[in-house]
Amino acid sequence: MKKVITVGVFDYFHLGHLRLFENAKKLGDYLIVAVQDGDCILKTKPDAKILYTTEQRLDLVRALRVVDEVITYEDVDRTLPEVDFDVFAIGGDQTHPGFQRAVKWCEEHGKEVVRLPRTPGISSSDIKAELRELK
Amino acid sequence: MKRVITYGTFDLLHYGHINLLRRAKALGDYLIVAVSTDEFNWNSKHKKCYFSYEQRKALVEAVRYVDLVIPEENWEQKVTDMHEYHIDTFVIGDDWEGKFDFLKDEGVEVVYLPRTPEISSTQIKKDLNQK
Repeated sequence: MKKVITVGVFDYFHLGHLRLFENAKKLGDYLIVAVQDGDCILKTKPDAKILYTTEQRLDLVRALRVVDEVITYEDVDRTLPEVDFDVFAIGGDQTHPGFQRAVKWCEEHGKEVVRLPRTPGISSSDIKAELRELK
Repeated sequence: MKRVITYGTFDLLHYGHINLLRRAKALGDYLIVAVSTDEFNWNSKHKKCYFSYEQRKALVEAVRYVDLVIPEENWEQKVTDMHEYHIDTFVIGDDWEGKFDFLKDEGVEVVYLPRTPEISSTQIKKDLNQK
């Protein structure tokens, strides 16, 4: 069984997130989604205003039929070595040093790394900004 | 096979929606979700959703408890839906308490489920506006 893992915050869940999961699942047979613990998000996204708690975000991701397993993580490069997986599906914008270290670890340990494109025109940041302007 | 139906907008899908869908599915074997179309929202409630009908439908269909998504286009379709889809149980949030009791005349069980407190798409939009 080929296991694929993808990671993220998944606040303001949208179609882009769902497409990511569907595309990641196609790379194997089993999809693991790692949801970032709320306390750690500010380390890499200092301006982020997270609406939902970790548990609330886990609840939503777990409820999706395409997802087989959900875990939480704090730092991607420290969590990945602890998980049993074959493919690391990474989003186009996931490039900070933690991700770079995680990718390097994958390459050194025979794990496939696949970069998946973002769905154009949709993002949690845009949703937040646009909702703020709605009267 | 016990067939359950619920109706809603499901804009900005959140864990409150998931709670409803999970509990609705638990009341039967097959869950149909009628998602309101953009035209229905605008014409009947002057409500404009953040996500289009297609996006809201795609997200609801992705939830493991959901078997079928149909469009909700008007207030009147509920009676015909009960028969067309052979519904056993109609479920909706308890903010509608009593309002759909008339469906019992169509031979269906009517269940009002408590909302998940502290969360609603309307509130999310309001809170963001104030920040």
